[in-house]
Amino acid sequence: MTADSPVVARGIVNQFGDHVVHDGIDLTVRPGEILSIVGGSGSGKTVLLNSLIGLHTPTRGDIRLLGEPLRQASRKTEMALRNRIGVVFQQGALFSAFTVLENVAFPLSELHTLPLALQRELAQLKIHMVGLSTSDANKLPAEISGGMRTRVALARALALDPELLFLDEPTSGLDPVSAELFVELISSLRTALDLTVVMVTHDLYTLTALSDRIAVLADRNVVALGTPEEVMAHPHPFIQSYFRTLRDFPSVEGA
Amino acid sequence: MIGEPLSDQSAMALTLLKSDGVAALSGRLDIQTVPALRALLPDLRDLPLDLTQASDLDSAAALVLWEHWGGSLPETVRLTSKQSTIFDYIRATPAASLHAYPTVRELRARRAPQHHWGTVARGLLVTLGQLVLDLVYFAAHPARWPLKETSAACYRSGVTALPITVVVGFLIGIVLSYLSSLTLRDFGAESFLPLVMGVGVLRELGPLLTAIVLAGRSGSAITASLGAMRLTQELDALAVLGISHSRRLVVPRAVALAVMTPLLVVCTNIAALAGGMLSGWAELDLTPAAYLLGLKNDVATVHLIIGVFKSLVFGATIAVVSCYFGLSGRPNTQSLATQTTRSVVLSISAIIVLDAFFAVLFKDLS
Ligand SMILES: Nc1ncnc2c1ncn2[C@@H]1O[C@H](COP(=O)(O)OP(=O)(O)OP(=O)(O)O)[C@@H](O)[C@H]1O
Ligand SMILES: [Mg+2]
Repeated sequence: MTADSPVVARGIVNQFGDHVVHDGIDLTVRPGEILSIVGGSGSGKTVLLNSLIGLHTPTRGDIRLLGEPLRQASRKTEMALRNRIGVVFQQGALFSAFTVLENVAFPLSELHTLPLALQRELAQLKIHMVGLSTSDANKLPAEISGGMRTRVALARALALDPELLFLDEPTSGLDPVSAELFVELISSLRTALDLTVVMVTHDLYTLTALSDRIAVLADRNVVALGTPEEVMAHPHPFIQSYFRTLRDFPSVEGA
Repeated sequence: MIGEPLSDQSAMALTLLKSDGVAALSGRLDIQTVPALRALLPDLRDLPLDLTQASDLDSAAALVLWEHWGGSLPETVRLTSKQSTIFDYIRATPAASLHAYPTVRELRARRAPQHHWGTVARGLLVTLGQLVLDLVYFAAHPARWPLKETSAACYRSGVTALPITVVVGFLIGIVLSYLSSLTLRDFGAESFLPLVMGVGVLRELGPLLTAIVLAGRSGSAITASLGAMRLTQELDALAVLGISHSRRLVVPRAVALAVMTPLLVVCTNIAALAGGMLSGWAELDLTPAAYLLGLKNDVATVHLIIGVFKSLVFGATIAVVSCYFGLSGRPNTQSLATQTTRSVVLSISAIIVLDAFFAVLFKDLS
């Protein structure tokens, strides 16, 4: 199981000055699953995600991404890895001087192997896939709404058909209908493309509808890891209060 | 059966097998093998295609095939269910959207907000007018004055510029004095060196040099920082808090530059005159004592006053121009770069034009 797990983290410690954010986190992502990371604000979800994708080097601990140990990775393997993972940042992180179409086509053009027409078609395909219309394709990031920005970021992350997708609060700017579309999109993409997804989300609907497993970050560690039912039954006080709304309004779960 | 592996790397291998009038693609069919796939397309022609042996099919490869088939999926293609999901996505995208891309004109209209000179002139005038109104307001409400911001701006735009302006002044002083010495010696007019240096530096070179250096380093910094605030929506945050951009951002910077430029000019003048003194000593054997005495007796105070007044106007000009370009940018990195360039170019041009204007205005004061 561990051998072909796309992400394996062992003993991750993250510390900023005296502030210990993570204290020895172990986390294994299984191939083809959708793993959600939840936790309170400031519990270190973004830092953990950044560590997993190699943007932030943890103070201690080792991470294997698609079989490559990140600490020893040469520049070349790291670059090759980048083409196999897609990341959607919490704020979108679109290139502000590029139009939507250019943002999505950018990773494709950087391959230097695809003809221009194909790059554009692929980009338009991804833009359409995430539910944006062609008329949005020529707008600049500053001219589209927050939820649209999230979707453009997703389209850009999907441009290279990655095996592994990291999402930091992908549905936070979406209305419920778009969030549902997003859930459908991710679950159909994962069957079509064998995607493995690691996502941070606060949205209980997305969480219960998509997650195969949930990891709960609290007290600087993963306090619970398992299927949504297992996690919701966990006695940890944070988990109990986190999912209270779901128990009080069970209809949400059935949605 | 004909099989021809296209790439040495086994991971990249994409193989076309033809048998019984059916073409079968096997190996990886993804974005990495798209060039290989495109090379195979002429071979495929209209043969029924079997993709079930291909290990991967991603949207890039699927799109290449889709286009090869002329934008549809032939009945004869054999696909796995995963593969047909990908074609479902492509089918769901209207061909018009798939092939839509912007014309150059559309892109240009969006990318470069063409600033007409009229717009710029009007914007500068509005910024200046608002600045004057706000100064009046602050004169009436001195307690509201953004003191810390002004002090920080003085430090950033003025104090940290001191080393570079002094060094530039000193070097130019040496050069000017050396070149003048050569000519003065030919006419036996060595004793005029202090006069030449005094008038040239105090009235003209000191203010001009300092202002140009400041436009390059402090003006560009102001435009870039205000432009970045537009990018990160900090300007919007200020606006919704009901805080005026002009009062909180422009006034402190303008006041700081208007105050600091004359002070810097005095330092630049001292450095330039000192450079001139050294050079005169070496070249003309003019002792420092004689040089200083010459400065005191021959150079009228009015030159210093004119120079300092000009530098005050230069400082305010730099501030108004760089604040205007900083605040009027659009929220993207390209605009930030363009606005910064424009700000520096216009500041320096404005300084030189103003300097010429002052030369005419003050021609009788000497
Ligand atoms: N570069 C940094 N330097 C210092 N401290 C940091 C840095 N990055 C993050 N932190 C700290 O780490 C903690 C976790 O931050 P993180 O951004 O991971 O929170 P989060 O769980 O993603 O919260 P949210 O749900 O609000 O996005 C915070 O207390 C933050 O102050
Ligand atoms: Mg976060």
